[in-house]
Amino acid sequence: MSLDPQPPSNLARLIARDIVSVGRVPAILLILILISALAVVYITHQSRQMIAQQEQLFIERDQLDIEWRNQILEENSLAEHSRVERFAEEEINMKRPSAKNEIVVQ
Amino acid sequence: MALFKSSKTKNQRRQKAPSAFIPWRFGVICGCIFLALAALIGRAAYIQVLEPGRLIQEGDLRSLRVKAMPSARGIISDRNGEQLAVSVPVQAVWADPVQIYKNGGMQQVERWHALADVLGLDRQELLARLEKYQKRRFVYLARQVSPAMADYVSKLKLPGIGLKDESRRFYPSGEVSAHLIGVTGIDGHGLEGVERTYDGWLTGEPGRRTVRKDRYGRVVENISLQKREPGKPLELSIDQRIQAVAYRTMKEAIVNLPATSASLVLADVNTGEILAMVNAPSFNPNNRNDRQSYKMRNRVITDSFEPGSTVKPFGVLEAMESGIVDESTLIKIPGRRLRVGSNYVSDVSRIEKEATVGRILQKSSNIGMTKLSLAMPIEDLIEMYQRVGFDEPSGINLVGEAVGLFPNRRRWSDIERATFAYGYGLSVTPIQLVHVYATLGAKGLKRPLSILKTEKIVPGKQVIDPKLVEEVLTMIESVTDKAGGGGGWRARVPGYRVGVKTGTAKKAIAGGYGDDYIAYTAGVAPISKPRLAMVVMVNEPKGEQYYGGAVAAPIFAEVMQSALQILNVPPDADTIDKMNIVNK
Repeated sequence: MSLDPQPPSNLARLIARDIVSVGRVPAILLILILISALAVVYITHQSRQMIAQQEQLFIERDQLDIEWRNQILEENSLAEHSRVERFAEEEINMKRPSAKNEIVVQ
Repeated sequence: MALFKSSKTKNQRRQKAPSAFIPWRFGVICGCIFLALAALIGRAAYIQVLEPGRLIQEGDLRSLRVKAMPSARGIISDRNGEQLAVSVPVQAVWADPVQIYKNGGMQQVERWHALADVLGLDRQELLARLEKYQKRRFVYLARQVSPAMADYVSKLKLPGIGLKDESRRFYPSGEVSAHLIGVTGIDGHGLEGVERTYDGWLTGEPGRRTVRKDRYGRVVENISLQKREPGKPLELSIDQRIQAVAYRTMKEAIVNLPATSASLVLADVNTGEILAMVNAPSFNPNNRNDRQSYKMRNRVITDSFEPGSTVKPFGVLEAMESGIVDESTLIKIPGRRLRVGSNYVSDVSRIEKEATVGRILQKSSNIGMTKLSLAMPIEDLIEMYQRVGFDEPSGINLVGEAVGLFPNRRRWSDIERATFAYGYGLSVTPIQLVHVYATLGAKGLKRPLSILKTEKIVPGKQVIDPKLVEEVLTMIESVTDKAGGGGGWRARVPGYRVGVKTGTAKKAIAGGYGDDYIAYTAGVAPISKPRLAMVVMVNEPKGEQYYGGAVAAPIFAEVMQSALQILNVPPDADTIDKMNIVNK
């Protein structure tokens, strides 16, 4: 037994040494593959979230557009000329200026 | 016992034996495992490589969704950006009767009653209708339902009831601009007016998106996108402020006179843009039940009548151009009646025995015009009318625009030559008449009219000598001079020099002339630097007064005054105080 040059207790160390010496390139590639695989998963997840967010913003935009259109209608019905004129004449006693009270400033 | 013992000892001996490995068993197990593996790989390969189509399709059915992206119709606005027509998304409520009856029909009858109530339908009628169309797959229950109501309907959770996106057109300006803008049908396409004429421009192209959704309904992948093309906005040349004033004035006028209808059109002479185009009576474009054809017709462009005295300035122009008269030539007027062939031409108002062409225009003398017309070849007068545009469309290009009748014949009797000079024997629409007066206002520079806001001014064509036009403009200004006896003094606008020509024409009916009249006032203002040309036409005035100067001129004055004020045109009459603070 004492003649045995490499005791079995050194096997783990042996594998480790092999990985950093002979198997260096495959080991690095293995790690890179792992990183890249995880990155793919991560990016896919991110992009899905972004797409969901974009979708949300699209919906929001359409709703804002609808609201804007309704606001236009409301604004126009409130600012309707005959309504404003009636208000000006009846509520706050305004008058349309006649030619007599016009002064031209040159 | 002995047997047991012996067997036990036998077992112990066999355990110690090294022959525990049985090759055939091992082989069988290995074979089974490899077979199973091969079967799995084979199946996987079959699914993934050989026959993937069906599964992909099944997967897509569960996750792929096609979304329609409706595109709104373009907004129509006036020259100041005030919106005149806006599309708002609404919903249509539809039913699938087959689905309803498959899911138990009208069991929860109070829910169906709630549906009928919110849609404003009769409860029993709705149920009867669904009963009647049991075999159908699609029935509209209500169109153009507001989003709040649609929300309520979807919360009722009735089986077989669905909502569909639609769009509804609203017209905030209501009846004021209804004729010009027109209306759209229920499918969102233009039926009348600008909506119809520029339908292609206003209509957008709806888009489609294909997306993948996850279990929770979130979009996780965009697969394809067909971009939507939104409808393009349209900016009209109309000024809604003037339009509103004009409509109110006309609406009051047809009630007070009374008259069957009245039309007004106002154009900017410098650009050819239409600033107002109004008819009364009008209709409410937001209400489908208010659409009778007599209310919906845009009389400014569709109805042509004989223009009466409003053509007289052009007869005078021709007479001056051909050199048979100038502004100071005196023309003999024999009296109130003049015999032409076997007919008589008569005047309404008294005029001196000898009058200048200016005086003839001021008093609107038919006899004076007859004399002028008989003194020159009829071809010259026809050519003048054609040159200023009595025979051509105005250029606004609206659907339904008519062109009046223009005579095209060789032989003219004297009475025809006479009446042609005071506006009978041809017919024009108000828009054609305003085109002619805009040409007059632009000092003889003829441009096509435009209903759209123009970016740059269309170069016109000089059709008459500007000097002659200026003389005629001062002549028609005298028409508004009350002291001088002008027939159109009611068209006067305080602070401004206004030139008008009034006209009254009998309405032609089958076989001659009837008892109804058309009263016109057409004119330009301010005379020193013309900016606006306007035509007012009152159709069938029913009161005691029916002359253009009495019926149409007050409308002209009121609208013209507001328009000049709104557009900030400096007053040119000397009656207004001036404060000079810049050039002391």
